[in-house]
Amino acid sequence: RIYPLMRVTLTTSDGASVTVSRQLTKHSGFIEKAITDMAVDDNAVPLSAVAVDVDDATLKLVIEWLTEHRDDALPYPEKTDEERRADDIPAWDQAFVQKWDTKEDQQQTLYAVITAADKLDIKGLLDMTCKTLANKINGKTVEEMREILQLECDFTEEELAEIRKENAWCEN
Amino acid sequence: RLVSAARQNADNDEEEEKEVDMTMSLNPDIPSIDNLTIDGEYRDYFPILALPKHIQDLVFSFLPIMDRLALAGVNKNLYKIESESKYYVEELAIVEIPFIGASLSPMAEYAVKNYKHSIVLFENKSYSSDFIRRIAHNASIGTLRIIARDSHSQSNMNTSF
Repeated sequence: RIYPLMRVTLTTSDGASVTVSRQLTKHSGFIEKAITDMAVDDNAVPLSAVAVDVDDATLKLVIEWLTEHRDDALPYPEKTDEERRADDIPAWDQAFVQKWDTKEDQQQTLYAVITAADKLDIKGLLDMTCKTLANKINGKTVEEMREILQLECDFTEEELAEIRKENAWCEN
Repeated sequence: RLVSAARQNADNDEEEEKEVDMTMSLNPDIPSIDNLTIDGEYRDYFPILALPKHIQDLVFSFLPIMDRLALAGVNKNLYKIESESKYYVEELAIVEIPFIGASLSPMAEYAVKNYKHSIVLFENKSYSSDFIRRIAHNASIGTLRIIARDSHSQSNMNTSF
Protein backbone atom coordinates (compact mmCIF):
# COMPACT_ATOMS: atom_id res chain seq x y z
CA ARG A 1 0.00 0.00 0.00
CA ILE A 2 1.45 3.30 -1.13
CA TYR A 3 -0.01 6.62 -0.08
CA PRO A 4 1.00 9.07 -2.82
CA LEU A 5 0.49 12.09 -0.60
CA MET A 6 2.78 10.77 2.08
CA ARG A 7 6.09 12.58 2.16
CA VAL A 8 9.55 11.44 3.21
CA THR A 9 12.35 13.67 4.42
CA LEU A 10 15.81 12.63 3.24
CA THR A 11 18.94 13.92 4.95
CA THR A 12 22.04 13.99 2.78
CA SER A 13 25.66 13.19 3.65
CA ASP A 14 26.48 16.90 3.58
CA GLY A 15 23.73 17.88 6.00
CA ALA A 16 20.99 19.09 3.66
CA SER A 17 17.45 17.77 3.85
CA VAL A 18 14.95 17.30 1.06
CA THR A 19 11.31 16.32 1.42
CA VAL A 20 9.86 14.29 -1.41
CA SER A 21 6.70 12.36 -2.15
CA ARG A 22 6.48 8.66 -1.40
CA GLN A 23 5.54 8.31 -5.06
CA LEU A 24 9.21 8.94 -5.85
CA THR A 25 10.85 7.11 -2.96
CA LYS A 26 8.94 3.89 -3.63
CA HIS A 27 11.40 3.30 -6.50
CA SER A 28 14.31 3.23 -4.05
CA GLY A 29 14.73 -0.15 -2.38
CA PHE A 30 16.92 1.45 0.29
CA ILE A 31 14.41 4.15 1.31
CA GLU A 32 11.46 1.74 1.20
CA LYS A 33 13.32 -0.65 3.49
CA ALA A 34 14.20 2.19 5.86
CA ILE A 35 10.52 3.19 6.06
CA THR A 36 9.44 -0.41 6.62
CA ASP A 37 12.09 -0.87 9.32
CA MET A 38 10.75 2.19 11.15
CA ALA A 39 7.41 0.43 11.38
CA VAL A 40 5.60 3.74 11.52
CA ASP A 41 1.99 4.27 10.65
CA ASP A 42 1.83 4.48 6.85
CA ASN A 43 -0.37 7.55 7.22
CA ALA A 44 2.19 9.44 9.23
CA VAL A 45 2.89 12.79 7.51
CA PRO A 46 5.72 13.52 7.29
CA LEU A 47 7.86 10.57 8.25
CA SER A 48 10.88 10.97 10.38
CA ALA A 49 13.96 11.58 8.28
CA VAL A 50 15.77 8.85 6.37
CA ALA A 51 19.53 9.42 6.18
CA VAL A 52 21.08 8.69 2.79
CA ASP A 53 24.81 8.41 2.08
CA VAL A 54 24.54 10.68 -0.98
CA ASP A 55 25.47 14.36 -1.24
CA ASP A 56 22.93 17.08 -1.88
CA ALA A 57 23.95 17.84 -5.48
CA THR A 58 23.78 14.16 -6.48
CA LEU A 59 20.50 13.59 -4.64
CA LYS A 60 18.94 16.49 -6.58
CA LEU A 61 19.81 14.70 -9.85
CA VAL A 62 18.46 11.42 -8.50
CA ILE A 63 15.20 13.16 -7.56
CA GLU A 64 14.97 14.77 -10.99
CA TRP A 65 15.29 11.31 -12.58
CA LEU A 66 12.79 9.78 -10.13
CA THR A 67 10.28 12.56 -10.86
CA GLU A 68 10.37 11.71 -14.57
CA HIS A 69 10.17 7.98 -13.80
CA ARG A 70 7.61 8.15 -10.97
CA ASP A 71 5.08 6.09 -12.95
CA ASP A 72 7.54 3.33 -13.93
CA ALA A 73 6.24 -0.15 -13.22
CA LEU A 74 7.05 -1.69 -9.87
CA PRO A 75 8.67 -3.99 -9.07
CA TYR A 76 11.44 -3.26 -11.58
CA PRO A 77 11.57 -6.21 -14.03
CA GLU A 78 14.02 -8.87 -12.87
CA LYS A 79 16.93 -9.29 -15.25
CA THR A 80 17.00 -12.66 -16.92
CA ASP A 81 19.69 -14.40 -18.93
CA GLU A 82 18.41 -12.67 -22.02
CA GLU A 83 20.65 -10.63 -24.19
CA ARG A 84 21.54 -7.22 -22.83
CA ARG A 85 21.99 -4.09 -24.82
CA ALA A 86 23.05 -0.53 -24.13
CA ASP A 87 21.49 1.22 -27.13
CA ASP A 88 17.99 1.45 -25.68
CA ILE A 89 18.36 4.42 -23.32
CA PRO A 90 15.16 6.52 -23.53
CA ALA A 91 15.46 9.98 -25.10
CA TRP A 92 14.59 11.81 -21.87
CA ASP A 93 17.32 9.92 -19.98
CA GLN A 94 19.89 10.66 -22.68
CA ALA A 95 19.10 14.38 -22.54
CA PHE A 96 19.18 14.25 -18.72
CA VAL A 97 22.69 12.73 -18.73
CA GLN A 98 23.94 15.14 -21.41
CA LYS A 99 23.04 18.11 -19.18
CA TRP A 100 25.73 17.24 -16.63
CA ASP A 101 27.99 14.64 -18.26
CA THR A 102 30.14 17.28 -19.94
CA LYS A 103 33.85 17.44 -20.72
CA GLU A 104 34.37 19.91 -17.87
CA ASP A 105 32.64 17.57 -15.43
CA GLN A 106 34.99 14.73 -16.42
CA GLN A 107 32.53 12.02 -15.54
CA GLN A 108 32.71 12.76 -11.82
CA THR A 109 28.95 13.27 -11.75
CA LEU A 110 28.38 10.05 -13.67
CA TYR A 111 30.47 8.24 -11.07
CA ALA A 112 28.50 9.93 -8.26
CA VAL A 113 25.10 9.09 -9.80
CA ILE A 114 26.08 5.44 -10.44
CA THR A 115 27.19 4.97 -6.83
CA ALA A 116 24.10 6.85 -5.53
CA ALA A 117 21.76 4.63 -7.61
CA ASP A 118 23.55 1.61 -6.13
CA LYS A 119 23.37 2.83 -2.51
CA LEU A 120 19.70 3.84 -2.84
CA ASP A 121 18.93 0.65 -4.76
CA ILE A 122 17.22 2.34 -7.71
CA LYS A 123 17.57 -0.37 -10.35
CA GLY A 124 16.31 1.61 -13.35
CA LEU A 125 18.73 4.47 -12.72
CA LEU A 126 21.64 2.07 -12.09
CA ASP A 127 20.96 0.23 -15.37
CA MET A 128 20.68 3.47 -17.33
CA THR A 129 23.90 4.98 -15.95
CA CYS A 130 25.85 1.72 -16.41
CA LYS A 131 24.64 1.59 -20.03
CA THR A 132 25.87 5.18 -20.42
CA LEU A 133 29.30 4.07 -19.17
CA ALA A 134 29.28 0.99 -21.44
CA ASN A 135 28.51 3.26 -24.41
CA LYS A 136 31.62 5.33 -23.65
CA ILE A 137 33.79 2.18 -23.96
CA ASN A 138 31.85 0.50 -26.77
CA GLY A 139 33.65 0.52 -30.13
CA LYS A 140 36.94 1.89 -28.78
CA THR A 141 40.37 0.36 -29.30
CA VAL A 142 42.30 -1.02 -26.33
CA GLU A 143 44.54 2.06 -26.43
CA GLU A 144 41.52 4.40 -26.38
CA MET A 145 40.05 2.41 -23.48
CA ARG A 146 43.30 2.86 -21.54
CA GLU A 147 43.01 6.58 -22.19
CA ILE A 148 39.36 6.83 -21.11
CA LEU A 149 39.92 4.78 -17.95
CA GLN A 150 43.44 6.14 -17.30
CA LEU A 151 44.85 2.66 -16.80
CA GLU A 152 48.33 1.53 -17.64
CA CYS A 153 49.05 -1.73 -19.41
CA ASP A 154 50.66 -3.97 -16.78
CA PHE A 155 50.89 -7.20 -18.77
CA THR A 156 54.25 -8.78 -19.49
CA GLU A 157 55.29 -9.35 -23.11
CA GLU A 158 54.43 -13.05 -22.74
CA GLU A 159 50.97 -12.26 -21.38
CA LEU A 160 50.33 -9.77 -24.17
CA ALA A 161 51.28 -12.41 -26.74
CA GLU A 162 48.86 -14.81 -25.08
CA ILE A 163 46.02 -12.25 -25.18
CA ARG A 164 46.75 -11.47 -28.82
CA LYS A 165 46.52 -15.18 -29.59
CA GLU A 166 43.25 -15.41 -27.68
CA ASN A 167 41.76 -12.43 -29.51
CA ALA A 168 43.20 -13.20 -32.95
CA TRP A 169 39.72 -13.78 -34.36
CA CYS A 170 38.63 -10.19 -33.76
CA GLU A 171 41.70 -8.57 -35.23
CA ASN A 172 42.35 -8.01 -38.89
CA ARG B 1 39.32 15.41 -3.90
CA LEU B 2 41.41 13.81 -1.20
CA VAL B 3 44.45 14.19 -3.37
CA SER B 4 43.84 17.85 -4.05
CA ALA B 5 43.33 18.48 -0.33
CA ALA B 6 46.56 16.65 0.38
CA ARG B 7 48.29 18.62 -2.35
CA GLN B 8 47.17 21.87 -0.82
CA ASN B 9 48.59 20.78 2.49
CA ALA B 10 51.88 19.69 1.05
CA ASP B 11 54.25 22.53 0.36
CA ASN B 12 56.37 22.80 -2.72
CA ASP B 13 59.06 20.51 -1.44
CA GLU B 14 59.24 17.71 -3.97
CA GLU B 15 60.23 15.07 -1.49
CA GLU B 16 57.22 15.75 0.65
CA GLU B 17 54.83 15.73 -2.28
CA LYS B 18 56.09 12.34 -3.36
CA GLU B 19 55.45 10.99 0.11
CA VAL B 20 51.90 12.30 0.10
CA ASP B 21 51.19 10.75 -3.29
CA MET B 22 52.38 7.36 -2.13
CA THR B 23 50.10 7.31 0.87
CA MET B 24 47.12 8.52 -1.15
CA SER B 25 46.78 5.55 -3.39
CA LEU B 26 47.32 2.20 -1.73
CA ASN B 27 46.38 0.41 -4.91
CA PRO B 28 48.01 2.19 -7.85
CA ASP B 29 45.43 0.70 -10.22
CA ILE B 30 42.58 2.52 -8.56
CA PRO B 31 42.66 6.06 -9.84
CA SER B 32 41.49 8.81 -7.56
CA ILE B 33 38.34 10.67 -8.50
CA ASP B 34 40.44 13.80 -8.81
CA ASN B 35 41.01 14.22 -12.51
CA LEU B 36 43.64 16.94 -12.27
CA THR B 37 47.17 16.01 -13.19
CA ILE B 38 50.15 17.46 -11.34
CA ASP B 39 50.62 20.11 -14.01
CA GLY B 40 46.98 21.13 -13.81
CA GLU B 41 45.83 19.57 -17.06
CA TYR B 42 42.37 18.08 -17.20
CA ARG B 43 41.96 14.43 -17.89
CA ASP B 44 38.69 12.95 -18.99
CA TYR B 45 38.48 9.50 -17.48
CA PHE B 46 36.23 7.21 -15.56
CA PRO B 47 37.53 5.39 -12.43
CA ILE B 48 36.02 2.03 -13.34
CA LEU B 49 38.16 0.07 -10.85
CA ALA B 50 36.80 2.16 -7.99
CA LEU B 51 33.29 0.81 -8.61
CA PRO B 52 31.97 -2.16 -6.61
CA LYS B 53 32.32 -5.56 -8.33
CA HIS B 54 28.61 -6.03 -9.02
CA ILE B 55 28.46 -2.69 -10.87
CA GLN B 56 31.55 -3.60 -12.94
CA ASP B 57 29.76 -6.84 -13.85
CA LEU B 58 26.69 -4.86 -14.88
CA VAL B 59 28.75 -2.57 -17.13
CA PHE B 60 30.49 -5.60 -18.73
CA SER B 61 27.12 -7.26 -19.36
CA PHE B 62 26.03 -4.32 -21.53
CA LEU B 63 29.10 -4.52 -23.80
CA PRO B 64 29.29 -6.46 -27.08
CA ILE B 65 31.69 -9.44 -26.97
CA MET B 66 34.48 -7.79 -28.95
CA ASP B 67 34.46 -4.72 -26.72
CA ARG B 68 34.44 -6.88 -23.62
CA LEU B 69 37.51 -8.77 -24.78
CA ALA B 70 39.23 -5.51 -25.73
CA LEU B 71 38.46 -4.15 -22.25
CA ALA B 72 39.95 -7.31 -20.75
CA GLY B 73 43.18 -6.49 -22.61
CA VAL B 74 43.51 -3.10 -20.91
CA ASN B 75 45.19 -4.36 -17.75
CA LYS B 76 45.40 -7.27 -15.32
CA ASN B 77 42.59 -6.07 -13.07
CA LEU B 78 40.11 -5.75 -15.91
CA TYR B 79 41.28 -9.07 -17.39
CA LYS B 80 40.38 -10.76 -14.12
CA ILE B 81 37.04 -8.95 -13.77
CA GLU B 82 36.12 -9.83 -17.35
CA SER B 83 36.99 -13.49 -16.94
CA GLU B 84 34.65 -13.74 -13.93
CA SER B 85 31.81 -11.77 -15.45
CA LYS B 86 28.91 -13.42 -17.23
CA TYR B 87 28.05 -13.11 -20.94
CA TYR B 88 24.48 -12.50 -22.01
CA VAL B 89 23.92 -13.29 -25.67
CA GLU B 90 21.16 -15.25 -27.35
CA GLU B 91 23.12 -16.72 -30.19
CA LEU B 92 26.71 -16.84 -31.25
CA ALA B 93 27.93 -18.01 -34.63
CA ILE B 94 31.48 -19.12 -35.30
CA VAL B 95 32.18 -19.18 -39.02
CA GLU B 96 35.27 -20.41 -40.80
CA ILE B 97 35.78 -18.81 -44.19
CA PRO B 98 38.47 -18.58 -46.85
CA PHE B 99 40.55 -15.44 -46.55
CA ILE B 100 40.00 -13.21 -49.58
CA GLY B 101 42.17 -10.15 -49.28
CA ALA B 102 40.81 -7.56 -46.89
CA SER B 103 37.17 -7.90 -47.92
CA LEU B 104 34.66 -10.21 -46.35
CA SER B 105 33.68 -13.25 -48.37
CA PRO B 106 29.97 -13.85 -49.07
CA MET B 107 29.96 -16.44 -46.32
CA ALA B 108 31.27 -14.01 -43.74
CA GLU B 109 28.79 -11.41 -44.91
CA TYR B 110 26.04 -13.96 -44.48
CA ALA B 111 27.13 -14.65 -40.93
CA VAL B 112 27.48 -10.99 -40.04
CA LYS B 113 24.06 -10.23 -41.53
CA ASN B 114 22.23 -13.13 -39.95
CA TYR B 115 23.75 -13.34 -36.53
CA LYS B 116 24.12 -10.44 -34.21
CA HIS B 117 27.18 -12.05 -32.68
CA SER B 118 29.42 -13.81 -35.09
CA ILE B 119 33.07 -14.72 -34.89
CA VAL B 120 34.78 -15.07 -38.23
CA LEU B 121 37.82 -17.32 -38.50
CA PHE B 122 40.07 -17.18 -41.53
CA GLU B 123 41.22 -20.47 -42.94
CA ASN B 124 44.85 -19.66 -43.40
CA LYS B 125 45.40 -18.30 -39.92
CA SER B 126 45.84 -20.35 -36.81
CA TYR B 127 43.74 -19.66 -33.79
CA SER B 128 43.79 -20.54 -30.19
CA SER B 129 40.56 -22.13 -29.05
CA ASP B 130 41.02 -20.38 -25.71
CA PHE B 131 38.67 -17.58 -26.59
CA ILE B 132 35.81 -20.02 -27.22
CA ARG B 133 36.48 -21.61 -23.86
CA ARG B 134 36.65 -18.17 -22.32
CA ILE B 135 33.30 -17.10 -23.74
CA ALA B 136 31.66 -20.46 -23.11
CA HIS B 137 32.81 -20.48 -19.51
CA ASN B 138 30.63 -17.54 -18.51
CA ALA B 139 28.12 -17.54 -21.30
CA SER B 140 24.38 -17.61 -21.22
CA ILE B 141 23.87 -18.59 -24.85
CA GLY B 142 20.80 -20.20 -26.34
CA THR B 143 22.51 -21.43 -29.48
CA LEU B 144 26.14 -21.66 -30.42
CA ARG B 145 26.26 -22.10 -34.19
CA ILE B 146 29.49 -23.31 -35.71
CA ILE B 147 29.70 -23.11 -39.49
CA ALA B 148 32.79 -24.74 -40.93
CA ARG B 149 33.50 -24.18 -44.59
CA ASP B 150 34.26 -27.76 -45.49
CA SER B 151 31.24 -29.28 -43.89
CA HIS B 152 28.15 -28.20 -45.73
CA SER B 153 25.97 -29.07 -42.85
CA GLN B 154 25.90 -26.57 -40.05
CA SER B 155 26.37 -27.85 -36.59
CA ASN B 156 24.32 -26.30 -33.89
CA MET B 157 25.09 -26.73 -30.28
CA ASN B 158 22.38 -25.88 -27.87
CA THR B 159 24.11 -25.04 -24.71
CA SER B 160 22.84 -24.91 -21.23
CA PHE B 161 25.53 -22.90 -19.58
